[in-house]
Amino acid sequence: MFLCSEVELCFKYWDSECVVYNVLSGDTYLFDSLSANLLDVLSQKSLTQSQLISTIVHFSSTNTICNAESFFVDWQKRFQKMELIEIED
Amino acid sequence: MKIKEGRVCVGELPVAEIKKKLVTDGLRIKIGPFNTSLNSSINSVFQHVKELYSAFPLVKEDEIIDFYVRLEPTSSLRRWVRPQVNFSFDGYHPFLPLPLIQAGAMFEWGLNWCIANYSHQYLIVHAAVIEYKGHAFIFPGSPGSGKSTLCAALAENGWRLLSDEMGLISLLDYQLYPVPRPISLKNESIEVIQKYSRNAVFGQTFLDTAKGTLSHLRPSNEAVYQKDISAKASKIIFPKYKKNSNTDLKPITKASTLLQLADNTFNYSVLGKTGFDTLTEVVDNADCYEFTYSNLIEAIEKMDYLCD
Repeated sequence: MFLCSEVELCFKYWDSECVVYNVLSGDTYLFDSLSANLLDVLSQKSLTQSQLISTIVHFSSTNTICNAESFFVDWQKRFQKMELIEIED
Repeated sequence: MKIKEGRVCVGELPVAEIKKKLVTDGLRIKIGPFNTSLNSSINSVFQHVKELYSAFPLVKEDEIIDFYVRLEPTSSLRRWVRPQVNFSFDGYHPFLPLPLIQAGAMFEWGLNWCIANYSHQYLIVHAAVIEYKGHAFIFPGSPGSGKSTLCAALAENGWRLLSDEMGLISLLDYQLYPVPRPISLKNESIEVIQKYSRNAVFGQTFLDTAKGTLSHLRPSNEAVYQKDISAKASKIIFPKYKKNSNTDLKPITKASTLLQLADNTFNYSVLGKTGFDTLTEVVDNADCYEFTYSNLIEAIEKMDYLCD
C-alpha cells in the first residue's frame, strides 16, 4: 500500500488530532492522530497490510490486534475514497 | 498644521483641496500598508472621506500607489433616473453598479476586494483583529457572528483596532499588520454601539444595502497613527452573538481552529503550502476559543480578563 502518486502531504500534530495539507490539491483535512500517523508512515515508504496493522498497534498500545484490524479496514476505505492511498495489485 | 511621521493628514487639508484632489489627480491616502488613490466627483464620497478618514496620512508624491480606485456615477439616463455609482480599480469594474446613495459603502467594499485579491504578501483572514497590552486577538467570523460589534465595543474601550474585516498575517514574520479602517456595523449593531459609547463617531447611514442598514464607525486616531506597529496573535476567538445567551468562553482544539481559520481566509488556496505553514505557525502560538455572548459589557470584561 502506498500514497497515491504525486501526493505530497504536510502534517501538523496537536494532541490527539492532526491537520494534514495536500500540497497537490490544496485540500486541508482534520484527522485523529492515529489515522494521520498511518498516512505519515505511508508517505515515507510503501507498507503491506500486516505492516500497517503492526504500526496501528505500535501507535496505539492499548489496541488489540483484532481492534487494529477493524480500525485498519475502516481507515483503508476512508482514505481510498479520499484518493490519498492506493493498493498495489 | 499637525503632521504625523512627517505626513499631512486628510483632515488637515482645506476642504476645497480635498475636493480638488478627489476630482483631479486623486486623493492619495495611506490606509494601513496600502497606498490608495481615490478619485470621485460624488459629494457623498467626499463626505465619507471627510468624516471617517480625517486622521489618515496622505501618500507622498514620490511613493508608489497600490490601488487606483474610482467611484463615479453611471452615465446615460441613470444620471437622472435612480442614479447609480460604479466602482473601478485600475479601470476595471469588478462589481455591478449600486444606488448612488451607497457610494461611500461601495468604496469600503471595493477596497476590501482590492486588498483580498492583490495582497498576497499576507495571508488574509476574514476577521476582526484588535490588540490590548500587547495581546492581539483574532475574531474570525462570518457576517452576523457579532465580530464587528465586539470589535467596535473593544475599540471604544481602549483596545487598538488593527482591522475590522481583514486580518493581515505576514508570510515573513507571522505578525499581524494593521489596516485600521472604519468599522462596518449593520442593523441593530449600530444602535448597540451608539448606546455603548457616546464618543463613537459614525459616518452616513446606508439604508437598504444588500446587508441591510449599514454605518461605519470612525477608527480612533491612535489606531490610525499606529498603522505600522504589528502584533503577535495571542488569542483566536470565534465569536457568536446569540440573543439572551450567557457569556461563555470555551477552549477549542488547535486542529479544529486551523481548519475553521482556513475556511475564513481569502487567499489560503492561492498561497498553497505557504498559507498552511503560516496558519500552522499562528495557531501554534495562540490560545483558541469559541465565545458566545449577548451582553456586551460581560463580553468585554471577559476579553479584558484574557489579557491579565
